[in-house]
Amino acid sequence: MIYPIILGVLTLAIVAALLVKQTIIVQLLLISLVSGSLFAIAASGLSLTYGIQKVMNVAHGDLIILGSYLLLSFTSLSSKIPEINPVLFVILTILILGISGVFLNVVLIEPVKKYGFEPPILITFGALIFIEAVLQLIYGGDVRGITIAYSSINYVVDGVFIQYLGLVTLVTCLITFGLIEVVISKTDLGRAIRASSQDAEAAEFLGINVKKIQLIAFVIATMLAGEAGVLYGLTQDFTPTTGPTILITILAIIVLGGIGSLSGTFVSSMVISIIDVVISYYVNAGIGYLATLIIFLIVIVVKPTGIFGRSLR
Amino acid sequence: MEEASGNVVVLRKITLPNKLMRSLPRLTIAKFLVIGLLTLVLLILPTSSVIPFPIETLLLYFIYVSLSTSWNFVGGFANLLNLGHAAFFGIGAFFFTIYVVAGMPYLISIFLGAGTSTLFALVLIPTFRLKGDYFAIATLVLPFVLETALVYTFNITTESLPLSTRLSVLDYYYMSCALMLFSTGSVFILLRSRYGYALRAIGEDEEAAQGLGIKILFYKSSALCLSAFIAGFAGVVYVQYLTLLLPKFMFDLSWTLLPVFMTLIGGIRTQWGPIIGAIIYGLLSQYIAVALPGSAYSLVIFAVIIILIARFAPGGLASIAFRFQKDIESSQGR
Repeated sequence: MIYPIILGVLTLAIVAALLVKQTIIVQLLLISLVSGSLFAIAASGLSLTYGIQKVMNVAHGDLIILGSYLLLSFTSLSSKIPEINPVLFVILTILILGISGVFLNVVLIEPVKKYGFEPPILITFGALIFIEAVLQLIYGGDVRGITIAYSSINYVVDGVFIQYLGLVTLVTCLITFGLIEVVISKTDLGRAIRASSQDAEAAEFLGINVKKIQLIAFVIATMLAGEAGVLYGLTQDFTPTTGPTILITILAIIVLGGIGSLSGTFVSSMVISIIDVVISYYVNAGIGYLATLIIFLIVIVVKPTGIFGRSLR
Repeated sequence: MEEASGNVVVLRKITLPNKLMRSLPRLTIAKFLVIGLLTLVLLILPTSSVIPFPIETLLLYFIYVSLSTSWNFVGGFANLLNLGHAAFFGIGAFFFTIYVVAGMPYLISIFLGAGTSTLFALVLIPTFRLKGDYFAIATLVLPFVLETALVYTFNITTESLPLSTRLSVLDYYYMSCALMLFSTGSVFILLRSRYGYALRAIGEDEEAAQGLGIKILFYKSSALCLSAFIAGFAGVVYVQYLTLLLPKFMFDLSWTLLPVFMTLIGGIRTQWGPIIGAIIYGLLSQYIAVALPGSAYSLVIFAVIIILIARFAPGGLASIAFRFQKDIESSQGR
């Protein structure tokens, strides 16, 4: 298991830095841990889709932002009707994203998969622009953020600052990855998913309904996008054009981690956010993002199977 | 595939002058008249002040045609799904401005701007050995990388072109007209040569083409370079027309959307498809701009059309017409 190892290493680094009173390093590590877990959830969906269905859903970043905007609408609604439990809105957001996943898969992507990889990419590219433009029409181009009662809760321990919602993100990420790992490695559904991702034809012969499995995986992926959208909306500011920006960070993460490998996704999202946060702090905020992009291009050109990924061809 | 490879074999026997003659379209009197008339309309009429001539509209149409033709050359014929045409367009515009502001001679900076865009196309060559969707996502990321990197390195968010290099709209019209003729002409001639047959063979079945001894890397990279050169040149012309460089706008995702849309609606892997698509796009965008002000509406409509075409007619709208044609041809026992 790679998750305890990487978390252990990070915890050790934080403890060691605490012991030698390096408050800045602890702070940077904590920030990158939180943003790393946010992007790990965001990337896991795309990694799952590509690993199982071999469809590159370039609209994934915009689905995440769609989740953020849905939650934004729901929270502004809840200020009028205060008796509804806010958790319901989170569940509703994730469910709506799941339904849009069913629509995307059944109506648009599945029928054209037989023509090769181009039509699905073109369709999701169209969906990317569609979502961005619709959000622009409804909400305008202003920077938005969701403020709830928990937004202002912060903890300061020994000069180190952490948001309550940051802790929530971290815990949610661990639970999500734990659940996915358990489902994939222990249950019948997981075995069917693994079988159809390794060899769809052979899985079909064994009596697995590959299309159904792929649909389930796609819906799980869009629901993960909804989850990431909820967390992103709660912790960061966003505009309609944030979608492609998120998508590119996600692509960098899954290409570095090896497409289709969940543990690789987790590790590389931590690596990328540490690089991003450290460079943003010491050099310039724009350069951190640029470093991510350059890592992506270098990896895709030099070693496209990723650092932790298995061979794809 | 069989047809293409057969032609490659036949063409090898033809000597060079014959090959050149063959690759040029045969000029009959009717065609000569049409071409002459078109030249007259496109070159002479804009200078006369008697008849109102839509110079600026046509200038935009020429840029659209060159963008979609160059996209179709790679995205259609070579079958490399390029989702980052905006990168080449933006680089052309950006570096032209940089060179001109730095005080380079005007003509040299035009060609250097387009040439720089070709240079950046070379960066993508290592991705050719990957599966097709890797090329697609690498190109998708490219405009964002370049915008962030260039804006940071040169520290430019807006830059107006120096007054000394500004020409009249009419000059830009001729420039875009020349670019349109160059892009359609070069694609037209290349497709009728050995080069075009090899490129199409690669697009249809890469492994079979490799089996025939076609140098895949050479054809793919040269096609991408030509495409990037045309797109870069389009960027150079467009930024001059605007007289203002806004990197955020020049590298915008919509500059990728446009050529894809125009090619798909007119017909991918066809010669006239991108041209027809550009005209359809031009008319449609003008109509939408009048009916629904705001660029977001047109993006919604074009995105929906792209989704519908990719879903119901993956070869573009023209593929439906081709299906009929193929049915007729096969019924005639071709």
